Amino acid sequence: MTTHLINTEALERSYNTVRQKWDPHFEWVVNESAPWAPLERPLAQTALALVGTCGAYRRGADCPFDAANYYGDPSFKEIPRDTEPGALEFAHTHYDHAHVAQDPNVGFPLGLLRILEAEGVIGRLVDPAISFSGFLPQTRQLLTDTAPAAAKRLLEAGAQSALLVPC
Amino acid sequence: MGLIARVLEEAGIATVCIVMRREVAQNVKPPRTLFVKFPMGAPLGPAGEAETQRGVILEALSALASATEPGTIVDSARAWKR
Repeated sequence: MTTHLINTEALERSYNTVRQKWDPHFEWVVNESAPWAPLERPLAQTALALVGTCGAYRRGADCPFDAANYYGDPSFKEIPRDTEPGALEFAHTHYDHAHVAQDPNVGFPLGLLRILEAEGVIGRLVDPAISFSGFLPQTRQLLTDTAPAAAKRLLEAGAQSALLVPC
Repeated sequence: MGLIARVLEEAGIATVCIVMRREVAQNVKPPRTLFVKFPMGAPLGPAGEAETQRGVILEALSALASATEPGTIVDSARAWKR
């Protein structure tokens, strides 16, 4: 799998840190090609879903992600599209929370996307949005179980496109 | 996150990812990517800067609408200004 890895000093540092501190079997994922689903309509007529990986959850409504787990937490949460930014918390221990704590739109921009919907830039903001917690050194369960379940949920909700925001 | 995009895309949902580490996108190969030179924890820009955040989202949506090649990476010209 590492034959075609494009490596950099920064990647090498992260690789060593993850292996030493959390998962001794961690490997970067390398794919040879990308899948493709064409955008069938103009954005203004498209149902767009928000998918975030910064660990967003609703205070008092959702159980937080298991951010302390060395192997990460591959589950996802459905976040109603009209959730107010102030109701969001972030469970993810691998980035600086200063910005999302002050302004949740930085990591999970439901408010900004509702504005773009009102302005007609996108046709519709899909309900619900989907939230993952992105530190995940072992990807099998994500690939075979939780990401396909999220895709199924979004298709049921009418999603034709998705914006993915990391942290 | 690129892995999630690939699963959604295989299910028929057209995706665009925002990333802060270009080489990760080069390896994982999400279908469409906007690379921003922002630090981890601030994918859309600094807290409180709604215009920057909106601009980054519009750049990502533009990549979603205009990319024609699987694995496209668009480089945002924005610089971190803090």
